[in-house]
Amino acid sequence: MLEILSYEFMQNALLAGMLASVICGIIGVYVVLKRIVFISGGIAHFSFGGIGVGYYLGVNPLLAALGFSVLAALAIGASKDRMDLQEDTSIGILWAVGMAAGVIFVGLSKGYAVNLFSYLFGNILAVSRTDLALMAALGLGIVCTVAALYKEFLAIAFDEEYAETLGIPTRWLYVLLLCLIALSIVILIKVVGVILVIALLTIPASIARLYATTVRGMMVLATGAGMVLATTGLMASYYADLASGATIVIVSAMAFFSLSLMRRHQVQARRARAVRRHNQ
Amino acid sequence: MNDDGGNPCISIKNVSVAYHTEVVLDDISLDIEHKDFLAIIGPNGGGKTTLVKVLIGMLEPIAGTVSVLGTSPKRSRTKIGYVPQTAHYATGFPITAYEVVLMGRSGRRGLFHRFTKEDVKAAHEALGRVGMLAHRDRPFDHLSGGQRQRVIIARALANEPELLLLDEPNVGVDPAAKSELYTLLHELNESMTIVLVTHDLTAVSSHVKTIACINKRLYSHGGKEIPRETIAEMYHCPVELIAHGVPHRVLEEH
Repeated sequence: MLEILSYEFMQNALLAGMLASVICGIIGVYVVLKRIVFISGGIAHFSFGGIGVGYYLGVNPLLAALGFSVLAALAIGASKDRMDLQEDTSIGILWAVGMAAGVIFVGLSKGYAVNLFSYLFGNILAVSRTDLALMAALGLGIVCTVAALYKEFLAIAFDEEYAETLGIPTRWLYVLLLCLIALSIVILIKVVGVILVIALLTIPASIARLYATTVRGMMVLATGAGMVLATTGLMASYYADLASGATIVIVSAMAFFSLSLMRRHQVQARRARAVRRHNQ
Repeated sequence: MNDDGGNPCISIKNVSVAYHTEVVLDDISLDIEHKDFLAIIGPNGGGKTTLVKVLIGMLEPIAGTVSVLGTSPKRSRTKIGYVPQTAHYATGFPITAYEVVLMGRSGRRGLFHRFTKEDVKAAHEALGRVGMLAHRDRPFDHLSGGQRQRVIIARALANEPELLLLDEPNVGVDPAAKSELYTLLHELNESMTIVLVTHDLTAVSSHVKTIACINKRLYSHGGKEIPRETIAEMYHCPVELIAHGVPHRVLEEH
């Protein structure tokens, strides 16, 4: 069991899983509580267009993806409440256009075949030390930003309209939050891919929501859940010889499904006991 | 603090509001005195909530002027305690009653600043004032409709407002809690002006001092007795009327 830990690629993969869990554990809580899963998905898929354009122009694809995702975040943030078009419709269009642009521009790029698959699901087993350093720096940046703006983010996540009446600059904070999401997504694309990023942003936070009573607690729980799930998924993929990213997604989804069933059962049992006590 | 040299607490002059091209409020003029307890009634979609949004500076009128506590609504925000409808709070948000109340102090501390001891004290006092101190650490989600309502009021009180603005405080609250709510508002009215918006005519109890009827335009404003014709005209349908000093009594049946 422990011999796989002696491989450097495995150590890096596990570390990447930990760092991704911290980033997604914190940002994912806002994504889930503010109900912007679809918006985050839109940002992630739009950034895919940047990867294509990057290859076509011979620019670092991740840098181009960063440009695209931040652009999407700014556009979504700026157009909030101002558009005649329904928000989910415009996100859906953004989503599809990003993917289409990515595919077309990669197709136009001559020379070498790009493995688009690796951008969708990532390759956690190919994470380099540089990637890890980048993730650690981003993770630290996110922890600091969220710690500094905790009360403001809490206010806009709970009740944005009320926060505005208090004079909190809600629009700027919302755009900042979307930019943090965009940044997290791009850093994690190479490691875990567009699809796994969305899974890591939503599943650990949703598991944490079953038990948490405060937002801070939910972040800690989500980070912990992400670490356990990433490690479990990685181990399972290694022994069963399956794609690592996809295995992590499936393991996480199964965990969420069974835990929410258990939790619902628990809550119902507690309610039934209370009713019985009341009737006695 | 409350005395602005005889100026009313809120002064609305010839205000019209429109969404896109549809006019929702048409030429409203209304003065609200300090320490008044005003109920704004009217049918759903009659522009009551729109008026509240104008008063807290969330909506700009297309015509007319609004002054709240002697200045523009946006500037006086810090002195207004806004109590939105509790029904709009999503369930499943992990937050305690205390944290919700403390949120009312967020505007006093700038970005990047932590809450001070003073904020903590104000939050506790507000919780005590609405009788929810014992439920301080309970998840907001686990509270009853009436208890949530109290917590949301405490959040507004934590900011030490001079004016309390409540939007449909009766929605999602059982009858017993409803009457407790009015007792609480009556107590609070001793130290602040209260404006509440409701479509529920039976809810306007003996605690209210004045009533304004709004359905796109202002139909009447004054004491607690409203001419039957006004109500009929405003609602375009048979309604229960309100009797002076007798809550929940139906005067007329159609």
